[in-house]
Amino acid sequence: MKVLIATVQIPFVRGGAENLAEGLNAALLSAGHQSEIVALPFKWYPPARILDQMLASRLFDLSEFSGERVDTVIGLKFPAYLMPHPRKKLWLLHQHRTAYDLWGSHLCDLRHEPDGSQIRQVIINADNQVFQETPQLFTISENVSRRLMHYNRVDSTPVYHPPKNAERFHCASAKDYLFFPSRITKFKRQELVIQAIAKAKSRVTVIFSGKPDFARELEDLMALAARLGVLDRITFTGEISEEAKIEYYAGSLAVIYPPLDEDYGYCTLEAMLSSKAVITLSDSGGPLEFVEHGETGLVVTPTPESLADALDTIWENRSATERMGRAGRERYDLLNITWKHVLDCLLHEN
Amino acid sequence: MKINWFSPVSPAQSGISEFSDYVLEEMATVADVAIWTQAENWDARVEKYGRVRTFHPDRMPWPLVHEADINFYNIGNNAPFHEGIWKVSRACPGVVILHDVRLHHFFEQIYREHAKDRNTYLRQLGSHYGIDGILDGVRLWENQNSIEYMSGTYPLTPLGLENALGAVVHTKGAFEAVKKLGIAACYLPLAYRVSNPPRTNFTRKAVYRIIIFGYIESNRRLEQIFEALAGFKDRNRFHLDICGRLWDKARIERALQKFGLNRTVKLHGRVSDSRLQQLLSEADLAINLRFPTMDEASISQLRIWSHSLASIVTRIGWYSQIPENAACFVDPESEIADLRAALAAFLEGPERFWEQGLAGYQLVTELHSPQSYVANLLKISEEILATRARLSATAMAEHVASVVQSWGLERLSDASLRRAAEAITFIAD
Repeated sequence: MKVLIATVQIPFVRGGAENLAEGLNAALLSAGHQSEIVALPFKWYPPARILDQMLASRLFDLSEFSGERVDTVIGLKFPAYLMPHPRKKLWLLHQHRTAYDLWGSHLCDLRHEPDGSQIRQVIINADNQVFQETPQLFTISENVSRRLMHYNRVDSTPVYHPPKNAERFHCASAKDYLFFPSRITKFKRQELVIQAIAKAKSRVTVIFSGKPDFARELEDLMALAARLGVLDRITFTGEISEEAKIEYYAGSLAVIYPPLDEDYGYCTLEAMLSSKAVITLSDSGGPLEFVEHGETGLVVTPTPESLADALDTIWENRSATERMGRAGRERYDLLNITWKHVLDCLLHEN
Repeated sequence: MKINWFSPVSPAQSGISEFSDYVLEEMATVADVAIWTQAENWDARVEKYGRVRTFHPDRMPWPLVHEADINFYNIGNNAPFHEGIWKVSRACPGVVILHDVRLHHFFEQIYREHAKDRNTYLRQLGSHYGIDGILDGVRLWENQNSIEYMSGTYPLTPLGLENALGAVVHTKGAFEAVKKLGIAACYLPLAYRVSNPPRTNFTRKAVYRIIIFGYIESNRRLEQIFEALAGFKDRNRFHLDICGRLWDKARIERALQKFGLNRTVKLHGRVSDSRLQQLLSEADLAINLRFPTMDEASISQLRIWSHSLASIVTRIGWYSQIPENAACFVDPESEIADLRAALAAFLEGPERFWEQGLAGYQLVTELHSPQSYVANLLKISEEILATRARLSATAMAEHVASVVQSWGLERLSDASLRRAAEAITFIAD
């Protein structure tokens, strides 16, 4: 089959979305299909730009190129998933969240614009239209499916996929550190972790790795750690190679991953692949689909005190922590999180 | 429903603040209201209707604004009260409650008096009315043209409704005018709360009291009324109370002197609301002339009727739609003669005028109730919210047109136009 993967790209920014698109593309190619990624450059400000890009997406014709019919289009992200095609499927990473679950929050940029409400309504309108015209609607997680149902009243099927280099993650002897791999941004809540470290009874040490979205955010975290007197117990490695990341996972005692309402959460799966317990929070979204409190990790309320207790529990109960890590790996293996399963779902015709 | 209500509020000397009082009192019982004003002070009762927020159009707290489901912008012809509201309405789409269709006075105040921005004024005239608009605008700027002419010829209504989701108007004439602009329009009789019972008896008097009140500009025809009264043989059977701010007090005083009416007419100036209520209740007849008119609905006429008071009005605009049994009419072409005939008819048969006052009372209680107004406003809100995305369809179409134009093309092919239209419809319909 000839397959096009329709997504967007923010130039010079790479993250989970790019990994997913590339992973899907590689899986399709491995399975013998012809596949290409069609990525539109996306800019969400000023808000009127969003409408331009929605309109541009809708004006594309992906039905055929050079006389060769495109058999299917898999839409991943807004507004690329607006591109019309008679046999389009959606495998949603997420909607344009500032129009939905983030609307009312301090993380929403749209509501700071005078035409924010108007643009929001157009986004919702167009989304509702495209969900109606797409008979097969998939998402990357139950969390994203729940949002679709809540805001757009549509059913969708969550289909899990493996993180990049899944086969290379492994477990090594646990050293004295907890690992928190993620972009440095308010969404991921590194600040909460630093506050929890300060409140923990144990001398918990944490390695943070990842690039900050804005340099100022890293500076603020360092200043916070200094004020709380825990600068000697944290390390910011910055952006690291894939190899280094896999080794940090392998050698960690456990993984901390407390994002705010994450869509999916590769870090959770990477931790499970590394047979490491995961500490997450009750409002973290995607990770909660994999972490079972007391079985494969700890799930606590999003306060520094609760997180501090969890850090102490993990730090002081090494054998229980290792047991939970092993249970996480077993759970991962049971979930059939493979690219074959993804293709079976996405390419299956009803 | 959560509503943002942008308006002058009491004690602002504005009929629209009075109108807002009536509407908000009712709206507060059925909706969650935030009242946005540029005033620094407001009557305490306004806070009973909802949260009062002050605003500056250049420093809007948009996240707070967006907490509401819909915004209502009250726009009238007075720039000090409405310029800030208009600026916000342009930036943040909502429903404009358009109290005046002819807005040239408004924009003349904004661009000429306040901002002294000749370029933008002329550019706006050009964009809506072409070269004639620009040329006449130049003449106005150089005082070679009258604002009355500009108002009648270039009302600038579309500028007042820029980016609006829809408009609510209070006269049928305004409804037709706004509809022609392709904007979703709704006509609702102006809301007014009647707090007096109807008058129950009438007695003939030796001297009858006439009242004129409000913000009195030249179109209230004071000098013509003085001339009519001065030449009326039984003028001593009337006493005229004039309450409210005069646009040119010295001129009116000179007119009184000229017509020898100093003993017949009393200029009260601005009076308190309670004093005005008392004067209205003591009056036998109101004169409520307008020429020219901005075709606005008259809250002062509703106030007159709420006192079951007989009235003489100009047969023009909104007033021309008043039923014949609810007022006495003068024609703008024969004002003075018609006024004298009306006064004579009053003396001959004041009971008939009293009945007109009662008919007016019935009209205002039945047609202009705040409950009905608010119920209709909420219904309109739901309809507009269900289709608000359509406003962006126009913006997208205009963007497509500008891009095509930048390519040097006069138009797209039919197939391209159809694709563009389909795409826009998909997104915004």
